Amino acid sequence: MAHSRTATEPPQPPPFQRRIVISGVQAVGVGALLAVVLAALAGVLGLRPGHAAASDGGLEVQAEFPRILRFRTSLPLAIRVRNAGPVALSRVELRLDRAYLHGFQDVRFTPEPAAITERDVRIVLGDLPAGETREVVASLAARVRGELPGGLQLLAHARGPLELRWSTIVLP
Amino acid sequence: METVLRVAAIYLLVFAGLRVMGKREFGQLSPLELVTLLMIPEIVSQALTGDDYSITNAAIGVATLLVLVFATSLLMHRFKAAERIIAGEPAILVRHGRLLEDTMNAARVTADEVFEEMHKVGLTRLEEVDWAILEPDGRIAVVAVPPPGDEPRRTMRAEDERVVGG
Repeated sequence: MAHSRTATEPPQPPPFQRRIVISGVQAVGVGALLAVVLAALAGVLGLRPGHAAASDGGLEVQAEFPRILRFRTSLPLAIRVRNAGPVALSRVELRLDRAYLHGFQDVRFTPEPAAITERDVRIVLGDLPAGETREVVASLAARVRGELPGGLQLLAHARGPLELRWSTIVLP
Repeated sequence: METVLRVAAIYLLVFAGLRVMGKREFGQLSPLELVTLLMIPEIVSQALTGDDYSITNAAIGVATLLVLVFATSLLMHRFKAAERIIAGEPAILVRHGRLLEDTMNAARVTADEVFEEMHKVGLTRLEEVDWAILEPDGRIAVVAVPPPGDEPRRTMRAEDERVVGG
């Protein structure tokens, strides 16, 4: 193509077939990044609550706890205690693992604990008439990373303890 | 999931904003443009991370951004139309020694800037310029009028290369 002083556009590049070429290393790297994104979209790396329940002779306990947390993020811990039996229960007390709670910062319970021992945090629920429910809530903000096994014991007068176990995974 | 959506939304917003600003902002930054580009990260940082300062959240954010950038570059490479939309098209500022004022005003390029670029390639007069093109990356490319008798030889060489390469 000769140079022309009348051309309105500069010469264009020759035709070129556009195709995608990705090297093996690049494919692995992009695949890994994509896996992180897809895992996040699927909620695998997100905050997730868990549920656990136990019952014994009319006494029921349900816990909604943080199943997966990220470091310094928080989810609530909500424990519901119900007397599903025909008679009232007296001196009902909830005991939560202190070692588990140690993995979280600024934990405040409603209602307030009656006592804190080396092993557990004790919350007195008092008398529980038939059919009634009591609820204990706290906000748990993770301060350590890794898996935190936890649980509670529910005690009532003249009954054996009812246990419930769970664990929380704290991502970095 | 929220982090992926936050990063994707901010990526599109910032990208669209920079694209609308025009090519000149990419080539050289005036104080106003520099302040704008420095302020954008400050403004959007909270929107990107929310209250979650965990490494997991940061890793998700970075992975999302890199995947978006990679996907955008693939799209641009594979489809010319996508490249035109995303990167923009070159704009001709000088055609055969004549300033195209409408294009220059639309791209906010002055005659002084065109002459600055001409001086860099050793040209002093507009008649010596065959083409001055504002490229999509914001730089101005100046093509001199070929000396008489030089054109046929260059054309031959270009054709030879095409035959050998093809």
